[in-house]
Amino acid sequence: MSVPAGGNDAEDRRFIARIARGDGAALTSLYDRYGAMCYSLALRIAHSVPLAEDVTQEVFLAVWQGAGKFDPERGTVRTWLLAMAHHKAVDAVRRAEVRRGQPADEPAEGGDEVREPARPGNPGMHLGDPVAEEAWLTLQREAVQRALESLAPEQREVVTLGYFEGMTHREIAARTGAPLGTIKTRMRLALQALARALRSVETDAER
Amino acid sequence: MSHREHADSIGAYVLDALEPEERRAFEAHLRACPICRAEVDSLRAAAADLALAIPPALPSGRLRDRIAAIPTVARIESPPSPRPIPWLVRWPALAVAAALVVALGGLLASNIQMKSEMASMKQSMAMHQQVLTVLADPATKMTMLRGQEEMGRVTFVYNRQRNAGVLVISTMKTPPAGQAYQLWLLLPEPASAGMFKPQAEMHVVPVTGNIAMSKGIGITVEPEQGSPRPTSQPLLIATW
Repeated sequence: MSVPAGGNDAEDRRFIARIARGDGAALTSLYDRYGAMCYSLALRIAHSVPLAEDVTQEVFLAVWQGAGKFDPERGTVRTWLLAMAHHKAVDAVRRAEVRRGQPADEPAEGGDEVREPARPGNPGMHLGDPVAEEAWLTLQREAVQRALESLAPEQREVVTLGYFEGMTHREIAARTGAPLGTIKTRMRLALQALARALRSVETDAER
Repeated sequence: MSHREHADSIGAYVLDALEPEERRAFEAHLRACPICRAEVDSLRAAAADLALAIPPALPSGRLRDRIAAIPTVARIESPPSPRPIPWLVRWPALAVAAALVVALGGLLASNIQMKSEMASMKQSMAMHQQVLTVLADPATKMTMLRGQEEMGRVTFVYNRQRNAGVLVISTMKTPPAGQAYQLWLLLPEPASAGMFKPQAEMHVVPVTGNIAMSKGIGITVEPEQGSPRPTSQPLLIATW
């Protein structure tokens, strides 16, 4: 299989360079590639379509305004986008909680959105060939799930609550009854283990 | 705090799981510590891969429209403004521009007291020009009102140097019978700046008062005839 778009950081960096020069079409192209991924992540954390849309918009506004400051030494474009989406989604949820004085736990609004939780759908990346695209994404998802499952249960727990639920380490300590400092340490060890597991999966996949 | 203690926060930082003060403290350390930066970068890549495990949801086409409008709208907004507000992108850029031209046009028209109903073409052209000048003025700012956002989405477009401002009401729930929304400029004591009842479609409400000296704007629900002072907590508010 040729290098999939999701892994083609050189091409992504060319988009970023064009955006930094004020090329609006490149922003839309980058959105077509990663917008759905950012949106899905934000929706997973915020459980609200309007919030997830706002978060995605904030991410791409930040890209538009900050493309010139993107530092390829520090990671891929995809990592940059997804880290921003995560941070902004968690922030948006915490702001909403402060406003309401309660956890934001209302279900996602249905509206006119099309959600496809079951199908390994198209998160907007352009591989040209939709079948290859789906196959690549399915493989990726399975690889990440395998890596998650390879973690010790208490490590998987902090990663799941922290990353997917957007909980702070204090909230997780309160939820799990573990001492405060322990959760921080566990998060670090869990991510280190995850990074190793993902690397080994990649190596396997490359045969 | 020692390097070791800071380094213990790396995982929680990457997962956005630190409390705000902890986050600030860690980021201060991060700027000075290449070792922690390298680990953050490596763990961040692993964390970002977790997003791939999420079942994909398809965003609506209107989100793509909002993203495509960013370059246009970001240009209208003053680039060097301290905190650019992305919310305006919610509406198609053209509709917003049209609404603002109408709104600011109305304001300026009353300001320059166009008495004749048969305003000459020349005058209207001049007014149009003036509106465009206000919009292009880097001192013109936009801010979204926060609070009970389920009640409505309202943006304030204002220029303190020109003492001009309009509220762009994109949505707003109907107030209870016999009541209306009242605007308050914070000076910093709330001073009434007009009343309005929401309409079905996006519309604009001129804001009258001492915008130049104001520190913020708020909306409360009041009896239809208005109140000399707010009688309830603001539903929506923005400060600057």
